[in-house]
Amino acid sequence: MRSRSWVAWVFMAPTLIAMALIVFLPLVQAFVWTLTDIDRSNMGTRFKEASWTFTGLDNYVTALQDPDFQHAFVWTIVWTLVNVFFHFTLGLLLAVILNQKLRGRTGFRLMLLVPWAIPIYISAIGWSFIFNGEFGLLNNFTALFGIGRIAWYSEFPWYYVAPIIVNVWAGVPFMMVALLGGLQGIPQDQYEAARVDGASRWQSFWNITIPGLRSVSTMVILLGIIWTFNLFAVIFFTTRGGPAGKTNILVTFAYQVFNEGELALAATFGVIIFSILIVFSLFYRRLAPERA
Amino acid sequence: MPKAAALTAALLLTVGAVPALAQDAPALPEVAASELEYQGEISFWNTMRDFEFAEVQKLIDAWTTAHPGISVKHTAQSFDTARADYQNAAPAGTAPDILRADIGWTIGFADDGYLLDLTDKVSDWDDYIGVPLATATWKGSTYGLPHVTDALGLQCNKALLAEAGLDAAPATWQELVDAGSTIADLEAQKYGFYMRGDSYWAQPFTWAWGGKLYEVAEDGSVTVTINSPESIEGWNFLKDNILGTVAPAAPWDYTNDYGNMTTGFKAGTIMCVMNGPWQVADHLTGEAFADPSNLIIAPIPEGTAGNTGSPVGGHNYVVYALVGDDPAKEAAVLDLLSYINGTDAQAYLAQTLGLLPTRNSAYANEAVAADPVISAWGAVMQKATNRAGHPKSSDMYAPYSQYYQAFLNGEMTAEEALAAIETEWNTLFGN
Repeated sequence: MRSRSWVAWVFMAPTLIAMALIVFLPLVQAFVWTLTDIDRSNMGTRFKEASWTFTGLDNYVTALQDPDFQHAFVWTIVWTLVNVFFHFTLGLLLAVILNQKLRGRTGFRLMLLVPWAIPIYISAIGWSFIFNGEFGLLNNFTALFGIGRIAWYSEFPWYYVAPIIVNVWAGVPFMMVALLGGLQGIPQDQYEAARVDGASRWQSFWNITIPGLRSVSTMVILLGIIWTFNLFAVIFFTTRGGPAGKTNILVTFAYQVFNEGELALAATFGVIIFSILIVFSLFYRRLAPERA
Repeated sequence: MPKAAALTAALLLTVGAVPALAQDAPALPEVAASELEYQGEISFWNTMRDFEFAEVQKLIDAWTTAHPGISVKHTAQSFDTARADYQNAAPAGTAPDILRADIGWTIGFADDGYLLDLTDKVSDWDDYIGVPLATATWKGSTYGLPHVTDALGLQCNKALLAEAGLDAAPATWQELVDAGSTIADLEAQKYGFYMRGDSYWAQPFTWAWGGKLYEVAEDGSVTVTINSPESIEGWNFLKDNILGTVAPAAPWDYTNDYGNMTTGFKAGTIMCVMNGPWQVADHLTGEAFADPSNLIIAPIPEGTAGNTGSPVGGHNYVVYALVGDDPAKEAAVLDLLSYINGTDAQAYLAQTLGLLPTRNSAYANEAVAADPVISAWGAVMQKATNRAGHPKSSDMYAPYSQYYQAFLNGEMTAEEALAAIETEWNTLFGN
């Protein structure tokens, strides 16, 4: 009780100190940087004096008014929603199929895990060979169908579609596995009761399976949204944010800005991304409550 | 395929991958005897690729053998991340003593104070060629030793040139277009030329029409001059005459275009490409260049009368500023650099790797002077244009590529794209 609470603090202290140094301090520093005009040439090193100044909320104004930022913001939202939609629907479809007694279903489940098991940047590079505009595998097929060669990474609208294909391919297994676990948690007697009552398969799917998966779905969709929103590897290793910066999502755009040495602006992007996701998570818990 | 045949094929492929330039291996230059006080380690970050790294390692080994007690930690750094890594390490005090820095990074590092001022510590500045030396000079002081220089040149397939009716590389872009269109078949992926969506490759289309990118004054201030009628004319010539006739029409795969260009050129389906000496060894492994004399190297074609230009690139050896705090170490580092960047060492690297020396005396070396490939590149360097040096000059390419690609895709006209680049550069250079 009260006399024992100090013990808890003693045990937590090492973790809290480590987190403070590694997570909280840099977070606060990054936030402070967003209020200045700091970049690589004025940040102050042992060789050169610092010459940055406080500029208030200028960076936020610049960022939010930048047309490239606005474009990246809209595309990030579209990218996230489209990807998670396909991840979930295809994952659910595969989970339902593989939940049934099929011969060799363990083999199918293992095979379908492979896209998720391969490190994502390797998948992205592998898909680049398929999507290569000059010699790619896919272009050999388009020739068969009489369509000319397509520059998958540089032609509208394919430069939006290609990374989505890569990410959906890589992300479906995770959703499939999670939903498979969820399906196995639904009591079978509900299905039997429904069959006795004369419900069709679609009705039992809609009224038993979907509600039964609610808590798993909520969790998995939230994870999917946050991961996809911040997914750097796929965009970077496929289209590199091009052409002309059109496929930059917020994180790859922030990386580009950081590489140009604009530390304050990059930190601003980071804070904006962080805020969006925090606000979203808070609202999400409200919109999708757990099963009563 | 029978095992023996497969093994032989694999062996031949491996052998074929060795740069064809290394025919009779020249001897390593002798190390000049010198007494050095310093005992310890010198760290060296090298951004070269494997086969180039191995040759420099040989030079370093020769030097350390002659100077027992000093070891050199020679590590390979990825070129793509080296600049960022150095920018992180230098303020922290953990940067290497020697870095092979791209010329685009050198002045930036010097301006940030990371580099040792070598002006008074080296005595043979006169031996260095002017253009490479200028890339290591900032506000009157010199911060690096030019190591290699290069520029984009026009590399052509002699057999395809003959098929197009030319007996030498085209001297003007119009000539390239006229000849290339006789053999180009875009459907069948046979091209007269291949272009890139990268702005480094777009630079000749401003220079060849008499334009300039930007000018740096004595005091470091910059005037942005890219948005000019010459640039507009050059860009429109590219779009209207070259793309879609002798080269693929935009958009092509901008992310993978370097690899596609090289693959097509090596396979003998592209007549001419713009590329630098760094790729020659790889080109010679292609089936089209099994006979090395099939590769022609020439200056970039002219646009309007007498105008051409090619971006000068290259690398400098730079020394970390903190090395200056220890006079003994500084002497050892400079001695090492005077060996691996000396006349004989540069001649050695020219013969084994085809790298262009930056010292006038290296070009006077017999073997180097007799090498036809190096002479061809010498002609390219004569017409090459120095990119004006400024700490932010490496950062200019990102907005340049962005609007150049927007122009290629037809989303912006040449006027609009060049105006947008001008605005971004003015912000970048602080105007």
